[in-house]
Amino acid sequence: MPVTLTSLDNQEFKVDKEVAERSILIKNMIEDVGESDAPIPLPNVSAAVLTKVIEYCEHHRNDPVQVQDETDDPRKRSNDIEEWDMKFMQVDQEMLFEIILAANYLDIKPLLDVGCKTVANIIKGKTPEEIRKAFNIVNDFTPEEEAQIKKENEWAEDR
Amino acid sequence: MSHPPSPSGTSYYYDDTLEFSDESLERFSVLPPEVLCLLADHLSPSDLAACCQVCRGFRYYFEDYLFRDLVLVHPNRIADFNFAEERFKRHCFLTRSFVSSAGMQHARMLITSECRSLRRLCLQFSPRATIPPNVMANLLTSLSGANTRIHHITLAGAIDWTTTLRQLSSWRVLSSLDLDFAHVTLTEVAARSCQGSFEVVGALPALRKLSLANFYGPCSGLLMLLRECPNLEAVRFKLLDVWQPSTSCSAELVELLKNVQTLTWEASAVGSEELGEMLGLGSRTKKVAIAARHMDSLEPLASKAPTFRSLTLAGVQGPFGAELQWFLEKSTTLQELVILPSLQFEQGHQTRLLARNFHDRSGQMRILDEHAAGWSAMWGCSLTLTYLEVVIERLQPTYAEGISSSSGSQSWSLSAGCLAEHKVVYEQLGLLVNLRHLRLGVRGAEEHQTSSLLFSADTGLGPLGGMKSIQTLDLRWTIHEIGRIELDWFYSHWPRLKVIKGLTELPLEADQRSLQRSDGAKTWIQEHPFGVGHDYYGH
Repeated sequence: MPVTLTSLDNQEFKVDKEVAERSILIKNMIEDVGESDAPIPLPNVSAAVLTKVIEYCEHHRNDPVQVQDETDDPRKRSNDIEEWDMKFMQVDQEMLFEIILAANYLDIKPLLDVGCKTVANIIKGKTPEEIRKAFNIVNDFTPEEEAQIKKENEWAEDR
Repeated sequence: MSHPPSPSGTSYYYDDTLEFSDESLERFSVLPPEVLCLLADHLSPSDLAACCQVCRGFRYYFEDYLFRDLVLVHPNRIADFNFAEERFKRHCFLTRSFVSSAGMQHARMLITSECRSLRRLCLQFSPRATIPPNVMANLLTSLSGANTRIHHITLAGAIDWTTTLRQLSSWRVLSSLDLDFAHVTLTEVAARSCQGSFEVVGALPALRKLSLANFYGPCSGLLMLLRECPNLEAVRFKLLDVWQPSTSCSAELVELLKNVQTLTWEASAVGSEELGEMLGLGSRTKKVAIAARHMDSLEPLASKAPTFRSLTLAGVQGPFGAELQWFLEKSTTLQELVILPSLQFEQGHQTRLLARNFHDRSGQMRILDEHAAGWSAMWGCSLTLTYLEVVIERLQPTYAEGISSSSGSQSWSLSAGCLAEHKVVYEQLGLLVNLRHLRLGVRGAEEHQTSSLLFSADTGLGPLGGMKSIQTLDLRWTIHEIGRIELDWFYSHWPRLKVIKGLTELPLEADQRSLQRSDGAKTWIQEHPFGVGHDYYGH
């Protein structure tokens, strides 16, 4: 049975229940409301972003439910983005952050994870200057401050 | 314009007027704390350190996570944190997240009311945090007292050391003390005077373990502390470069450490005088580890006959040989010896070999033999060794190239020469009849090279019938093999061998020698009648 989702800008999206329920938020809503044809409003998500999110959920509709492994060190897993997900995440930064926010709001853990990994991969191994370039950020430290911070954090740097 | 999120709703470090207007930054600023946390989870400490240097905003977002590895109690979670839980009964970790006095008060309340049986207290603060002295003092006062069971204290970071150390004086039961003076906000002079305040500690009769890191206060303070701790058993000093004890001071230092059983001494440089003094430690000392970026001379080894059971020297610059030989001949107690050369040593040594090789190509075998013989004569004289770690150096690729290009097919006999070197070494190893544990590695000349350790009937290792464990050292670029041939050999010669580490793929096909240690091999070992384990190392 299809479910109707309404985006921030009032566009309607008809998707399979199974697909929509990749979002824990929507899943809970459907459970709470019971069988109903009424569209589900998603006032925090724009149509453009919702389109992307639905694309993701369609592709992952048959994925098994993720088992949380608390003991796993997440840093060790950040390289293992699936090829499809990697392609899916090849969007501009604005969209990338929008997707992360939407995934967080809709409670789609795997998508949130992939989003965070993608941002982390942009940062990884870069110098502060390279990070500034990557995110188009202006350095607002004075040279003295910069030197001070560098000194403070020396212990964390790779030796 | 948006205000950055604060993980706990209050800002510990930054005044609330801080604002960010950068549009790109706004993307980060709208991320909720839990998402930022998830993001930070994927970053290594060095990445986080880089983030903190990007701009004020980034620093704001990421700095808290930089200390994440230390943060076991996060202010966010303090409410759902139950100190009464079993796992906190024995250990309690507080971290720099408690830098606000309110946080410290809260922690103090929790600890004192709910952790009656707390055994260990660990306070690790950021090297630049500012902990109000009275807060620290109050916390420690409430934790000490007659009923305290905390006997292990770890303190690190920017603490007001004078106040803190004074509190320790009432800690009669303290058996282990671990202090890390990392502190970046103080000037060197201020830090020195602050760290010199050991005289306020007073007697710590129960103290058995002491560790001092990043210490560079005056030596007199350190001596004072040691005098008050007559029952120390294990001591670790990690001294900063700027710490330069006078000769008389280091002599007294060693005198005070005479009864220590385990000494670990880390310094940027260790001179031969200091080394000599440390080697002259008392008869109770069983284990000594000295690490330095460079250690000029091993000369004292030739004259001392220490009674240690275990000696590690890291950062040896060499060359050495004769000293070590004398040393081993004199020592009747030594069971473990680990020598780790410094980088400079390796380079210098190789360079010299290289130079000789180029001048006298035909003499190469002789030089290699000499080299091996020097080493092996040294081992051969100690019958008490039960543990030995050996790295056999092989030629750098550059020599091999140089030689093979100038003389055609010579490179093959070169590698044969290296194997001949093994044999000499093994024959000498065979003299160490009491050897029980051996870690062995051959440093390869080329990238991803496979090197067989060639255990076979004629290696001369047969007499080592008491061997209990063997491990191949994981050296860069070289894959070591302990294969079926070696296993068969072990079976027939070393009946007591229980632990083998460093197995390769079986069976040993010539074209399969290179890569992984497959699971198949492990299974084979497990099923093998003499049941050697592969996964643990007994030493």
